[in-house]
Formats: sequence, structure tokens, C-alpha cells
Amino acid sequence: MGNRFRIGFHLAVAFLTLLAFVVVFGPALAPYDPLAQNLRNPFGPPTWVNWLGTDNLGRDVLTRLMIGARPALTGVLIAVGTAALVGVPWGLTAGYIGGLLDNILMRIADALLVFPGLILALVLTAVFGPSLKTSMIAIGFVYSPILARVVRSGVLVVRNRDYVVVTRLYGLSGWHRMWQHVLPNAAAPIIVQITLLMGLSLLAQIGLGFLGVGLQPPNPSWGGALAESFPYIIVSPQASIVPGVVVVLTVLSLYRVGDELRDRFTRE
Amino acid sequence: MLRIFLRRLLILVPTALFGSILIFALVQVIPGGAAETIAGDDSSPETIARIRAQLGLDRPLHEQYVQWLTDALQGDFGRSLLDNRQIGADIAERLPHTLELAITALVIALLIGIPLGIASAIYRRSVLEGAITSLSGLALAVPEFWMAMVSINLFAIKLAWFPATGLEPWSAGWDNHINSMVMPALTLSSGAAAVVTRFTRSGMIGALDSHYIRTARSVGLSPARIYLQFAFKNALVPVVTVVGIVAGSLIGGAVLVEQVFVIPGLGAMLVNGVLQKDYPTVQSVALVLTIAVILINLIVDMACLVLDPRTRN
Repeated sequence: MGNRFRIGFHLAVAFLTLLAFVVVFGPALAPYDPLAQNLRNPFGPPTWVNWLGTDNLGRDVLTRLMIGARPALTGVLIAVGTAALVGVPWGLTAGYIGGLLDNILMRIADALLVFPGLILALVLTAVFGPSLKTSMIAIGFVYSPILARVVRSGVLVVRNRDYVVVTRLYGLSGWHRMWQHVLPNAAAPIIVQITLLMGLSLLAQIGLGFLGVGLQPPNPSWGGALAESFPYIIVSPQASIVPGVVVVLTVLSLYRVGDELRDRFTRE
Repeated sequence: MLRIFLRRLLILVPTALFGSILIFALVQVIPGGAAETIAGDDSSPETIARIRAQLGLDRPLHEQYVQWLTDALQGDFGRSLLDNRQIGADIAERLPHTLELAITALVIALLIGIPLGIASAIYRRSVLEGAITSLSGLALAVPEFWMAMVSINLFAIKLAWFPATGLEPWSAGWDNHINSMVMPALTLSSGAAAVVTRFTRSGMIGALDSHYIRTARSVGLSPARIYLQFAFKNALVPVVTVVGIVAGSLIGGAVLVEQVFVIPGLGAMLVNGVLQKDYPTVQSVALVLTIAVILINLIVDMACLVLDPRTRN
């Protein structure tokens, strides 16, 4: 069984590498103009000309998916970056300083964890207008307590280890100790959690894109592709399949890599 | 018991207040001002002043907040900026659909997730466990609303087992109503079922590895009794805790799934409000949904207390 999971891991890495390649070179490699319409060929089946068929306006599906990979990754990075920017100092402070401050910070984390993320993202969108950046910052903010908890428990494990105590004897400042000595040694579970959050935030991004509050059309995006195919689900059901499969494969790969990293870190 | 209940309430009420302040404050920071945005680009100062007065924006902030919250708690959410309808009446009409969808999905998730979790803990390192783990991993990676789209394609259009979209009211016959609820509830429950499976599994494994189970085995109790009466009871607490977290994502997921199945719930109202910049509607629906999630959490907390005497201290 272990062997089968290893194959899964290599496939996941291969898929994510391919995706990274598309993110960087997609616009150069894409076979067609993502906005070029061909109204005589809406919902075309896969052919040698359009490998993955065409969408409701006869645009090339493969091209739009390739171009859409970049905003998908950008969105994920914004969300995870926000979560890290808020969550890491949060957990670090709570875990390292401890006491009453820890108690207060973690109660706030509990309160935020209850808050439905998608709803906060929608309210923020109502305020700042629909954009990828706004919605993904909101999502990242909602995920930050998850990260804060992981950071805190990692810090609690290492804060009283000898090498940390030694840095205190050397008279290094509190912040320096936290960032240079405590955090790197608590990094493993944080990295694992970030991988999982990448998957989660892609799912949230696709959902928001489907609701029409993400990247605005006619820009190609994965969530947008699902939103555009939805009204035609009865006429042309296959149009929604391809973008969905790409999303599922991406999230599966991220989770698989996260699981593998966790297994490796715990083995060490 | 009552004292503990009140203490939980003491944690959740500030959470609700925090949520309400957040929802209230966000609309205050609308770039360019709420009244200006609503009035449009070339509106006269008089129009803007009228809208400001209508929304109560000309009064001090804390006064506005208290007024807004006390009105909302009495069911008065004001009027929609779009069609001047009573928001409270709309919410009262739509909330049951959303709650029914989310709670049905939660029950389905527990009915699927708990047995699968128990099975995969008992038959550890078997083909069955591998299958359950892969399936739950897949369920976690599939967006619920996309699964909804695919199942419309498969079960409504190709197989014609269920209606593709729309929600039949109870008055159209209970069988029709349930039939139209099957696909929305099942697709919404998929991710939650996977989470419940995983928590049940790890809770069960922790319990099965403990000393009291070894003792129970050694005195010759039947496996069924060991698994259900001893192990599962102890494994249940982490499961109940995760239900609270899952509740939030189910309410969020319901917004999406409602959109796919064209269910007239709060999701559609919220999304419309967001896209049309109908701030009072957005604030009201967000507040109601947040309170719903918090209430579910309170109920879950209480269930925990009943189930596990250890959490009472």
C-alpha cells in the first residue's frame, strides 16, 4: 500500500510542476487568443484544433484554462500570504509570551474560526467591489487563526529546548530569538498547514469566482469558466467538466504533497 | 449544568457581537461613502443627504450600531435599497430553506461519516480503509457546487431520477419536496461527510489503542460492545467538536449549492445584494447567517457537555 501512495505523491508533484510551468509560460504557450470568439462553434467537442473543445462563445477551452492558471495561483498566494502574515506573528506571540495574552489571543482565534469565511468574503466584496485581491485577502484572514494555532503549538514544543534557552543566556532580543531560533524549528507543521491551506483557498476562490465576485469576465479564470458553463448545463453538460477536473486535480495534488510532507516530518 | 451553559454563552455572545461589529463596520468603510455609492456618480448633494438620512448615516457611529443591532434583533432589518421590500420578511421566508438544506446536509454527513470512520478504524490497514481514505480525500478536493453541477447532469438529465433545479414546497407533497432536496443536501454534505469520517477514524483509533479497551477485550466483552459502547462513546467528543467547525463551512457551502439548484434561500439573497450593492440586505443576511452558525456551535457545545463529563470542568 505504501508503494501505491508513493506513486500518488510523484503524480501529484508532476502535476503541480506542469501547472507551475503553465503559470509561468502559459500566455506564451497558449495555442489561441483567450478572448477570440467563434460564435459558429459554441460548445465544440474536443478536436485536433481545440484539444479540450470550445466554450459558450466558441473560445478555446484549453487556452482559457492555461491563461486562468496564473490568476488561480495568484489568488492562492494572496490568501496564503495573508494567512501567514496575520497568523504566524499571532501564534508566535501567543505561544512564546504565553500567559494571559496567550489566553486572549487564542479565544479570539476560536471566535474567528466559527466565522463563515465565504460570507465575510462576500461582505467585503460588497464593500470594495468584486476583485480577486479583495476576496482572497478576506479568505486568508479567515484562515489565519488556523495557522496561528499550528504556529502556537509548534512554538510551545520548542520554546524551552536547550538551544532556545542558550540564546536567552546570550542576551539576544526576544524578537530575534522568536524569528531566528524558535520559528525555524517549529516550521515543519507550518509548512504542512500552508500546503493544505493552498488547497482550501483554491476551493474558496473557485466558489467565489462561480458566484461572480472573483476575477471579472471576460478575463479567463477557472471559477469563471464554471460560472460561464453553468447556464448551459442542460444544453451542454460537458462544458463544466473540464475546468472542474483541473481544479480537483490541483487540490488533490496539493493535499497529497501536504500529507507526504507531514509523514516525512513526523518520521524525522 | 446551567452554570456551564451560561459560561459558554459568555464566550459566544462576544463572538456574535464581534461578528456584528465587523459586519456593521465594513459598510462604514465603503470607499467614497455608502450614500455616494448608492446615489451614483452625478447625483446632487441633496440626494446624497436624503439617502444619508434614510440610512441613518448622519448620526454618530455608536448610535447607528446600537440602533441597527436592536432593530435587527427584533426582526426589523429595514428595507432593501433595490425594491424597497421589507428585508425581515424576505429573510423570514428564505431562512427556513437555507437552514433545512444545511441541517439536512449535516445529518447526512454524520450518518455517512460516522459509520465509515468507525469501519476504517476497526479494519485498519485493509483494502476497505484504503478505499474510505481515498474516497474522503477525493470528497475534500471536489468543490461541492461543481459536484452539484455534475450530479444535475447525471442524475437529473441523463437518469431523470430527480428534478434538475428548484425546490418543491412541502405543500406540493412531502415526497416531491424530499425528492427535490436529495441532490442539494447530498452534494452539500460531501465535504462535511469526509471531515466527519476522518475525525471519527482518528478518535476511534485513539480510543481503540487505550488501556480500557485492552481491559475490556481481556475480560471477554463482545467486539460490538467494545466498539460501540466503549470506543465510540469516547471517540464521539472530537466528532461533536468538529461539527461546530463544519457548521460554518456548510452555511457557506449552502450559499453556493443554493445558487446551482436555484433554491430560494438566503444564499441567492446575499449574492444578489453583494452584486447590486444593496448594503442593508448584505448586512442583514450576513448577520443572520453568522448568528445561525454561532447558535449551531452553542448546541454542539452543549451536546459535548452531555456526552462527556470530562469537559464539564
